[in-house]
Amino acid sequence: MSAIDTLRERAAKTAEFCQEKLWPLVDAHNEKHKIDLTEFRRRLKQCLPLIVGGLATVFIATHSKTPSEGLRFIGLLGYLALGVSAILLGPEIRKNAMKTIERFKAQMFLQRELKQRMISYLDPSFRLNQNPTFPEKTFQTCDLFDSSCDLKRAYDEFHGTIGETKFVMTEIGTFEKKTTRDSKGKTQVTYVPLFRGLLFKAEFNKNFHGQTFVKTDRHEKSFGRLARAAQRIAGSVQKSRLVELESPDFEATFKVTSTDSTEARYILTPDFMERLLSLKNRRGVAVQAAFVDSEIILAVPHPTDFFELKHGPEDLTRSCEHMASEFVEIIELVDLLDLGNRLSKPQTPRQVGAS
Amino acid sequence: MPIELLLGFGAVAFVVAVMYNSLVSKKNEIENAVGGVHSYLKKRADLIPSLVATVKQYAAHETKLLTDLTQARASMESGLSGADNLPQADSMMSQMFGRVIAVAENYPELKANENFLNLQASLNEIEGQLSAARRTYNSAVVAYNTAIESIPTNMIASALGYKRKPVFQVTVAEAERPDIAKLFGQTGS
Repeated sequence: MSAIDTLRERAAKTAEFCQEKLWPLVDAHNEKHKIDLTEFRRRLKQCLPLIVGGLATVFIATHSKTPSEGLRFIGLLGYLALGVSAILLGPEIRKNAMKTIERFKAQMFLQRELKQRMISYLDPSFRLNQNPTFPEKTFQTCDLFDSSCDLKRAYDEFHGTIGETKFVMTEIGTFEKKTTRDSKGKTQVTYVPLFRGLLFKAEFNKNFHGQTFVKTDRHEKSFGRLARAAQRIAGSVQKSRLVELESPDFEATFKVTSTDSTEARYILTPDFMERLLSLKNRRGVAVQAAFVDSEIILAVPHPTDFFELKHGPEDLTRSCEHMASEFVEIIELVDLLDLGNRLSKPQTPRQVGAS
Repeated sequence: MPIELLLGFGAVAFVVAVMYNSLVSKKNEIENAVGGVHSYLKKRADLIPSLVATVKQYAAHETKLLTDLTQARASMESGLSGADNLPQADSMMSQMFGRVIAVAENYPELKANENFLNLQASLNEIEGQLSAARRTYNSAVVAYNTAIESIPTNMIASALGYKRKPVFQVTVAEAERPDIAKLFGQTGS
């Protein structure tokens, strides 16, 4: 049984795993960080007349049209009542606020722990990076994005090995800063998403030295040969030149540029072009790829949070199943793109870096 | 001479120069692609001494195969130097590699030998690169042939004596070459 088949089989049994291993964790968390409001409610009940009376007298004293010494005294009594209520309720409020903060922190930790356990269950080699940093180097070298974005975020990062293929997958978001001014002259800053999805980097099954980029071709579908001619002219002045491949379907969907046209054809065999096309059709999104330093970098758009776990009992199982199926779908890329086929690659052990 | 006429001549001369340069560039791209194909053919032929040495360790009595391999390499080298028929030498070499892989099936020790496995991977890598180089050549030839047959570049091409160039075609022997991947049933995953 191949590594991907094992993964699929485990993913199918996610609900059982969730019930056996994850629910007890969530239950223990809920038990430990339960916030008991009984004492607070009891004290609030005791203080309620004081608070209401205090507020009423303060209101009367401050809103009276004919202020007098007597009203001022009543007002002082109101403030005194409110002060006493604060003294009585303060420690309870502080205690519960601290507990809420603690619970929130613990929830963040639990979320990471659940994710880690979940992906380790899918495959013991998979690891979650607890403190992901934006994969700046990969982002720059893959040249698939507009690097002029104003804000970059990394949400989750996973490492692992499928068969012999090491991979690292980072969920990222890039944003552009937009400043708008309303009719009153008030400026408002918003961050518009440019890309939200996964950056998947894996060791490629062939060695190469140049750089090849497979980007979505938005122009050729609309402008046909004219767009291709323009791309050719643009490519002739850039480091990467346009490579025209034999497959009409592939050509209509993607634009290929490379520093070495023969190497681009070595990577993009007719079979591999078919695989990339089917990947694009299967996911139904604008998948793009870069081949740099014997590694493949795939940018797969995914508008929503990819690995989000919810804590409610039914929610947890559902979100774990969803996460497992999403994870399998991404890992299937290794299979779909035949990255595990090392038949054409003389042995040269290497590391797939996170950056 | 009126300025309009001068400008007209200038524009025509410019267009002719652009078309001429484009044709020359396409012709040079073909030569460059041929160079690429030759370099991979040479690289593949250079694997033979190591292959012969490895096969000899486990299948010394396959003398016919070893002699044929050495001969195929000699033909390839003379083909590359222009003294022999290159496509024929290429086809002969492809068949030879197919034979070696088939023979290795009878020698489990040879098949499992690390050197042999690495040679096999190198061979597959070079075959892939060779195939890519041929596709680059074909792409350059198609662009060139289209240019010399299209109006108005065909006029310049015929004045320069440019002729159609043939594309690489898969020979029957190559088409029948055994699938090494299937033969070894070896994948990474």
